[in-house]
Amino acid sequence: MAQVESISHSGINVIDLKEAEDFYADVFGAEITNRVNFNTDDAKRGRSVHTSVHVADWLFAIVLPKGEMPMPPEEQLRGTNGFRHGFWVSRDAFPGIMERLTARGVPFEGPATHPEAGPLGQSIYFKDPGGNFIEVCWRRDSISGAVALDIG
Amino acid sequence: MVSPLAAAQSPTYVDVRTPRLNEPLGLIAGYSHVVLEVQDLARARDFYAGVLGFVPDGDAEDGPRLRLGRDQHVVLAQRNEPDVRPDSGIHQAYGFSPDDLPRVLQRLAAAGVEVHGYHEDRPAERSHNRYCFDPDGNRIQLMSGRAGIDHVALETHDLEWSETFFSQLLGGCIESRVGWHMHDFAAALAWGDGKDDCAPGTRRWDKRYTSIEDKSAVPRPNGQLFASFAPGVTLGVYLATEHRQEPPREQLSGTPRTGLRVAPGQLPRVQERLLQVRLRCLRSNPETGGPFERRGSSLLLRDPAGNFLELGE
Repeated sequence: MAQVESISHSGINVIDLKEAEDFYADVFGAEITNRVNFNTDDAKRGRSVHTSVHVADWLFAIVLPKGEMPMPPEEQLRGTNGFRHGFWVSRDAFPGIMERLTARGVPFEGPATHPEAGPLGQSIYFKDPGGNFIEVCWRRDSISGAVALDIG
Repeated sequence: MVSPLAAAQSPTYVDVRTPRLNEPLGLIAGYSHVVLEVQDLARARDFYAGVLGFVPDGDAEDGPRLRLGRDQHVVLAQRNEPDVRPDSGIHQAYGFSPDDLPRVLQRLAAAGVEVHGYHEDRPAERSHNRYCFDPDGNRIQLMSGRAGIDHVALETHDLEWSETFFSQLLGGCIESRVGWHMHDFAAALAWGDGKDDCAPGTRRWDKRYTSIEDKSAVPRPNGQLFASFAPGVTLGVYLATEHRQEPPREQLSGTPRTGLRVAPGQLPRVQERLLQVRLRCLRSNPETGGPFERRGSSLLLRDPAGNFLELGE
């Protein structure tokens, strides 16, 4: 029995809040639910400067760093040691994600095809405008219904 | 054009999620006047006429007025306790011709008025960095360029509502922002170390919300946005760093006030927009059906933060 209920959220740093909001809204259809520290009440309370971005059932707190943040090299599309957030989409929606990335001029790696015996179909790998590594995949096991929490 | 009655009956509500405008709607052509509160009319008149060189030009409803530029005015409203916030981002920026500015600076020096050289964040203002205060503490930016009101900066308790108001309702575009970008926060660290002489209202010390980290206060940029209505016509909005007493929601006219000149022939369109495009934070006036009053041919209204505005042709 797990001692936690679920993952609450991921906090990721970005360079520009507006740019990041637009990116997640456009590429993933994310909902911008809350912006913090653009009113006097939040400022007086010293709250962090961030926006809550809901990508389906996932909460990204996109946060401005306190100072200049080092960025990965432009050509690097996969995180160090594979570090990333992975989202799955339906097989039908998968090409649309690639189209929107292409339209925005966002380079991506893939689609990489996974072994047929495994749970994943294809994946692409890219970065958000803040240099955060993202994977988007479609799952073979989602077609049969129950999704196993297994990345192969 | 939608009739005013139909517009009032089928309003469209907008907020910060409403898609942004890519270009100004062309409703506002410039500034017409500012109404400032002062304690001593004679002292203020001496300053604006004698030192800044504005030309006495009769009386307006709120008090004596002085002309600057071709057809703009500063109106002085006498108040025993003027609403003046010298430590905030609020200021009026006046342009002086390149010939005139040195003479104004000489007269300020002769009058013993200190001229400050603060640094601003808005890219277009980095080189215009002369400021002084009038005898009541109204902050003035002295700019070299076309004579007249260059811009006005107001204060708000909520930048998002202000953005919605000045863009969706008055048809401005957001020309620049401060506080949404990593570089803004990095720049504030230099100010925290005493290495950057920033204008009042552009930086602040935030007490930390969490006690996890050792520093109890951090230097931060104070949020600002600049709405552009037409080429060269920009209005600044700075986040208030203190809670202020605002006028009652239903009060739509008062001082201090900023007068915006509506583009020729656009006043009916502005009125129609005020009736149709609504913000939930604004109250409607029962007589007009929208968040404004009429005075003569002008429309009087307040922004979401309680700043009074006058729109006229």
